[in-house]
Formats: sequence, C-alpha cells, structure tokens
Amino acid sequence: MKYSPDLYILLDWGWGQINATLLFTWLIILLMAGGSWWITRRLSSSTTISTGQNLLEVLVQGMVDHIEEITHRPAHQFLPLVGTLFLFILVSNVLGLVPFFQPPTGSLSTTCAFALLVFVAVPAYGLTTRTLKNYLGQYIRPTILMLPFNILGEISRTFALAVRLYGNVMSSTVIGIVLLIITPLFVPVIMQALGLLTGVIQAYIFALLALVYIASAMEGEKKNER
Amino acid sequence: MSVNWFTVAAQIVNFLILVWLLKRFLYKPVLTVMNKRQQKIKDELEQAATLAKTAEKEKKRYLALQEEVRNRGKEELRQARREADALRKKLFQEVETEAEAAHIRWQDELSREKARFLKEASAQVAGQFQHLAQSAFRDLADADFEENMISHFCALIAKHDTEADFFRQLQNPDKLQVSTAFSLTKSSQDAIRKVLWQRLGVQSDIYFRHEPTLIAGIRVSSNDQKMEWNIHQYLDDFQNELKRFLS
Repeated sequence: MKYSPDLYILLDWGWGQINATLLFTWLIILLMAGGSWWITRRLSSSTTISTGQNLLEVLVQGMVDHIEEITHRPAHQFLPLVGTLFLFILVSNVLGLVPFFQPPTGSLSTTCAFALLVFVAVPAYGLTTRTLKNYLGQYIRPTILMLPFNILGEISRTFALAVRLYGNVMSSTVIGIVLLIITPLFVPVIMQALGLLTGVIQAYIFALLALVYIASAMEGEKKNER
Repeated sequence: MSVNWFTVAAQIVNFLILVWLLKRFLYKPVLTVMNKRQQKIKDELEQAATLAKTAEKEKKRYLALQEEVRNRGKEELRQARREADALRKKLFQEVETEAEAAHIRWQDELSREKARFLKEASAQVAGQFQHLAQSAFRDLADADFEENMISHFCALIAKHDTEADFFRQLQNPDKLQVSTAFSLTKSSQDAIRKVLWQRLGVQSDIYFRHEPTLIAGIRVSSNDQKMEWNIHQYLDDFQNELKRFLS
C-alpha cells in the first residue's frame, strides 16, 4: 500500500522523477484552466447568464467577499494566490473520491511546496505595506530575546500548515484503503463522504490561514507613516 | 513520510503556472464581467432614478395642468352659465316684449274690430230701425198728423230759444224756404208764416215746398243755412244713443 502519490514513479531521470503527484497535478491544472477557459470564453454582462458562468461568479464573488471580510482590504491583490490555493486543494481533495485518483495534496511534497509559497508570500505581501525595518522589527518584539521564538514560530506554523493538510488528506486516503480491506461494502463509502467533508474543510483552513498570515504581516506601521 | 524536493520545486512551478492560468482565464474575466454588470446596473439604476425624477416632475406638471384645466373648465362653465342666463333673460324679455306687443296689437286689432263691428252693428241696427220707423211714420203719417206737427213746430219757434242763433245768424232773412213731407194747407202755411215773421221781426218772403224724403217734420232754410224739426232728428239721436250704449 502506497500512502503517498510521490511513491508512484512514472519516469525517473535520476536527478528528477515524474510521479503521480505531478501527473495528477497537471491533470487538475488542465481541468481547472480548461474548464475556466471553456466557461469564460463566452461571458455575458447581461442579467441572463449560463449555469457555468453563474457557478464561477458565485465562486469568485464568494472568495472576494470572504477575503475582504477578513483582511478589510481590496481582494484583487490576494485573490490569485489565496483563491488558487483554495481551489486547487478543494478540487484535489474532491477528486480524491474518484477511483484510482491520487490527490496531489496527499503528498507532503505538494503541501510543503504550498507552505513554502505561503512562507515567501507572507513577507512579500508584508513589505508592500511596511518597511523592511518595521517588518523585521516584529521578530524582536517585545524584546530581542523573543527573536529565536518568533523565527521558530514562523517556521513551525509553515511546517504545521504543510503537515496539517498532508496529514488530513493522507489519513483520509489511508483510512479509506484500510476500511476497504476490512469492510469492503458500506463503511468505506461513509468514510469517503467524511473524507470529502474533511477535504473541503482543509482547503478552506489552508487558504484561510494563509490569508490570515499574509493579512497580519501587512498590519502594523504603514510605509507612508515613516 | 519523505519530501521529494524535485517534486516540491515542480509543484511550486506548477502552482505558479496555475495561478497565472486562473488569473488569465478565471479571475480576470469573471471579475471584469461582474464589474461591467455592476456598472451597468448602477447606470441603469441612476438612469431609472433620473427617469423617476423626470416622471415625478412630469406627474406634478400634469397634475398642475389638470388642475388648471379643471379650474378653467369650471370658470368657463360658470361663464357659460352666466351667458346662458343672460341670454335666457334677454330672450325671455324679447319674447315678453314681443308677446306684449302682439297682445297690444291684438288688443288694438280687437278694439278696431270691435269698433268696426259696433259701428257696423249700430249702423245696421240704426239703419234698420230708421228704415222701420220711416216706414211706420210714412204709413201712419196723414194730414192731421202733419197739422199737429206743424203746430208743435210753430210752438217751438215761438217759445223755445234753442234755435235763436239760427234766426240771429240768418244772412238772408228776406227769403226763406219751408219744406214739408206733405203739401200744407193754406191755414197751415199762414200759421207758419205768421210765426216766422214774428220771430224774425220782418215779413220776409216765405216759400213752401213739398219734400217727401222728410217723412214727417218741417225744415226752414235760407241759402246754406237751415233749421229743421222732423223724425230724422229723433232717429239720429236714437242712433247715437244706441252706439254709445253698445260701445
């Protein structure tokens, strides 16, 4: 039993491998980008719109409202990163119900990649509203003795972000496999449904935490207040 | 539980590509079309608000106009009623005047008709009566009647003063003519002559003439002047009395 899609190696060049994680990631990218292009190629600004457009508008507007509600800032600067994180994790987790599909989010490599992106994005967004000195100064507050703890906290929350998602998705997959072996009829279905719920919640939690980290990094002394 | 750093790097690249793709094909077009729709709805709402304001203004204007028209209509109705009343009074007055004039004309006509009728009736009655009386007197008159009449005439000339003017104004008292319905006897002629001479104070020439149209009575004349007493006088008096009574 392979509990991570990383373990399904398709191509191996020695310095690099094409595994199931990358393959299913590309499939998801194709599905999301292709679906978006398919639906948005004929958008209408009238009040009569297609079901697909309606779905996308509800989705995008819901994310925009949520972002603005949390950050109290215009959503357009956060939407590409946070929105894509949410959508990718959501689609990945939901497709986990499809037989033989290995969700990329069940790979620690993927969640680490996302966590690293958030880890980089937090200071990047923070420096758009704060000075470098002010931003770095937060690590020595209230005293310089807090510097290692703050750095450790920064790393650990990034690590937690990656591990939480990975753990939930991976555990859901593993439990499904184990139950399928033990009780092959109804119990796996129920657990799959629970896994679906967990997947959606994890997507929301990952995106929400990323947003909160970014938003908190942007708070503090403003650039124009120097 | 291990991390494949090649996969991590690849996933970072994959994710960044996905971010670009979704930004290109999802976020941007959807947000653009939503903003466009929002702007369109905003414009339509503003347009609707403008139209509503315009409609409100138009409504007020039309209400004012309606009120004005109603007031004008009432005023014109009042004016028309006043004019109709005035015209009615005028026409009524004209009709009254005309009716009064017609009534007056009718009364005049009636009066004339009545007068004409009375005249004709009285003339007819008097004429008939006169004719009857004349016939009766003509049938009844004889010499004795004539004598009595002459005696009475003589007594009138001698005693009565009513005919005094005739004798005073006679222009030619020397020549008189006495007319009677019957031929007078000699004694009657003498009696008349005697009375006339006494009355005139001169012995004028007196001629006697037989005139049947007198029926009964006697006439004394000189040139155009005359004095007479006969049945005609009574009949004329009767005729006048009858006319006066009928009128």
